[in-house]
Amino acid sequence: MNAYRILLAPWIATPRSTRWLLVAASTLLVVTAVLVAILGHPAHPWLLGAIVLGLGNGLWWALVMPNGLLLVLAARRLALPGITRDVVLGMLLYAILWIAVPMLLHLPSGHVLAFAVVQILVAAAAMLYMLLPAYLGILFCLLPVLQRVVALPAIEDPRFVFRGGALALVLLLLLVWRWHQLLHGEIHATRWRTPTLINLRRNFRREQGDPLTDIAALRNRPAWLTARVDLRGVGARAPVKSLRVALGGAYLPQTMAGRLYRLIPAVLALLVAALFLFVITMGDVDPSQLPHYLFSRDGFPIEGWMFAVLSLVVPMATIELLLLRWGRVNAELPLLALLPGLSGGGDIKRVLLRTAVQRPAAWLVLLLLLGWLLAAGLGFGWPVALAMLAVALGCLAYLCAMLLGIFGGTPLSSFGRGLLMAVLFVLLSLTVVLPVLWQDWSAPAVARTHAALGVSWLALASFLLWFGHRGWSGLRRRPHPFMPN
Amino acid sequence: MNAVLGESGLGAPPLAARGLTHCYEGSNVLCGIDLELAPGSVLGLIGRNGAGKSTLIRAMLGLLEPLSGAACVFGEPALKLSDAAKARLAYVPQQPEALAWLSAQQMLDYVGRFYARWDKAFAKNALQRWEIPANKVMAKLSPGERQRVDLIRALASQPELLVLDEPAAALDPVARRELLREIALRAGEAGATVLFSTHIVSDLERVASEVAFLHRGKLLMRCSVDETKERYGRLRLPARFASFAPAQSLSRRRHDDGGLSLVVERDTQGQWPEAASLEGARVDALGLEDLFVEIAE
Repeated sequence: MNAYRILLAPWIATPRSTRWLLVAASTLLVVTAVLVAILGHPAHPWLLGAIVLGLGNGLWWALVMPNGLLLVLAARRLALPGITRDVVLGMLLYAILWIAVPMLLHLPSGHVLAFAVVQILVAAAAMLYMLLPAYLGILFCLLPVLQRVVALPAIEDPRFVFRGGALALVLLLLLVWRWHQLLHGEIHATRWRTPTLINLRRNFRREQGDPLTDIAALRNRPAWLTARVDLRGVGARAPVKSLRVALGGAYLPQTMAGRLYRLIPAVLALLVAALFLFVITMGDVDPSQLPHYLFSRDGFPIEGWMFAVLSLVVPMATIELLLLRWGRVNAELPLLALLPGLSGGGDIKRVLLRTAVQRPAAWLVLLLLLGWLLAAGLGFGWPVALAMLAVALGCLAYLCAMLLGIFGGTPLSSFGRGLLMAVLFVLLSLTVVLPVLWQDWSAPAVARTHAALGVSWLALASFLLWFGHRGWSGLRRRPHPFMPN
Repeated sequence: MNAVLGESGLGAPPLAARGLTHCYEGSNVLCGIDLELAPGSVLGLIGRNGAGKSTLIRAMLGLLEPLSGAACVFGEPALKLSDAAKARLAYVPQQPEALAWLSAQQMLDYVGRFYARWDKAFAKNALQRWEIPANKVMAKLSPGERQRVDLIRALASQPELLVLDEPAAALDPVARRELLREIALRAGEAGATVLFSTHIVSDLERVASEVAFLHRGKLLMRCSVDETKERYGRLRLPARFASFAPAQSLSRRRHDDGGLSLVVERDTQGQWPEAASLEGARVDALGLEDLFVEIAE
């Protein structure tokens, strides 16, 4: 037995690019938990510490420890001895580090058991979530129902230890059963039944431009979800539609039946969301008043924020798709480069840009109209409408700049994209939410926020302009746009 | 870069490259390659994995911008092909993955709309003959089936220039034999020019009229397949004559006893190098596969 190997086992199985991020986040939360325990509320110094540590604990047991399963599965396939033992011992060791050690440190607080139950509940639930199939994972969203059934008392309640302990035991037994099932059964090829952990890993690999996973995702898609492509009119006379077929994904022109089928997952998601909302408000809000409760001036910051997030998802999904297409040498690019008449007699670079921007732009316009409709219905004035317009235009500018980068051979690195996404997320959210909130603010505070937002937008616009210009120059230099990056 | 090599249009070679140089991450992949295909010829491009075959093909077709040098297709700069030139050419990449969201039938239907000479009947019959489920999404086909669909796509456009990058890599022996027969037929009856890369030497012997050997980004030799046995041989020199080894050789290997093995070429008068007449020296005939192994080792 080698302690170093045991400690290293889950670490090795975690994707290289996320290891340090996870360690940094967990460490930050642990340090915060310690500081909170020392400097926190004098009456309940342990409670907030337990919650913050629980967050770090959950992160660790959701994103690091379950990876041990992948290592064990690989070791079993390759008949490598000793790995399963190392992984299991590693889990026990990390359980001691995450649960037992902080427990000992909390001995003076007198709430050691409650503290331990919180940590075990969080760790077991986090890991179970990752090992369960994705569709069962959705049930975790219905935890409020479970809360209503189990009637778990508050953490400070003396009854919490017993009931929480029983729940933790159930979760641990489920975890052991699921682990055993995954080890001795077959991992299903369909996304519906594979553990969330494996689905996430596949998505991760796809984001890294792994063509195999891209094709594997299409291969694993159930027949009823297969695109029903509309090829009517495709050819040299319809360059935009022809390019849409070749770009695939959300660009793919579909028949009416195909479009209706594409709506099914969206409808299901809406139903789950509605059920979720109904459950969490059960008993507190009259169901007949729910629409009024949701669509009110008070609720608008959430809806406005959702508008900003959805608007950001449109360019983000488009950029990821095209990055994948422009990253593969043996797929669509050589076909498009050598297809006669694809430009329809025009400049193929402009046709490509028009095709790539048209549909996401249409989605952004649709979202903007819906947002405006909602804002107008709730009686918000031009500042909110203007903020929404700024969000839509910002997303469009982001999309255009990134597309020029991709087509011009100067795409942004994945780190740069992540950073830009984070900046956009914050800026767009604030842009749409602040005009609602500052109705109650003082004039100087509003002016300061205006100035800060203005400067941020100016900085973003300058960067996008520079990046877009660089991409456009690259595209102009390229003899044709279908060259891999 | 990308200057027109020769006269455009009629009379120009179907495919030509001059001084192609390219590198990836600082290491040279192509080192000044000159290559020209005569109309109606079948050139087999052979070389080890990573020799630069795919890069050379892609550079010759304008699918990547070389660092220097130029390539022409039917006399036009490869990087700026006209629709007319594109219509006369078909290319099948290694492990094709294009349009995986379409069914085989949809893919052929889609591509066929861009070619005036598209042979719809051939596409339909070939799908049936090769037992490819026409309505299955391409992503759900095996790699071999996907490769066959792409070959059908290339052949149905009735190209005058057919460029195949490792076309037989994912095919079973029966499908491989059929493909080779189809290539021979296209070249023999339709007069198509074919360039295909491979490291399966028996495929070359079966169908290629010429062979070009690419090694570490350099074109080491090019000759007709029939000629290789006559033109190249392995010269073995005992240790005491090692210093008399000819300076020009395709490969050079030293044995444990100090002797040398060299792959040598007959001169313009058909003579082996002088060292071959030394006492104890001998020249062995080399088959195509032996020649490939000797040079590549």
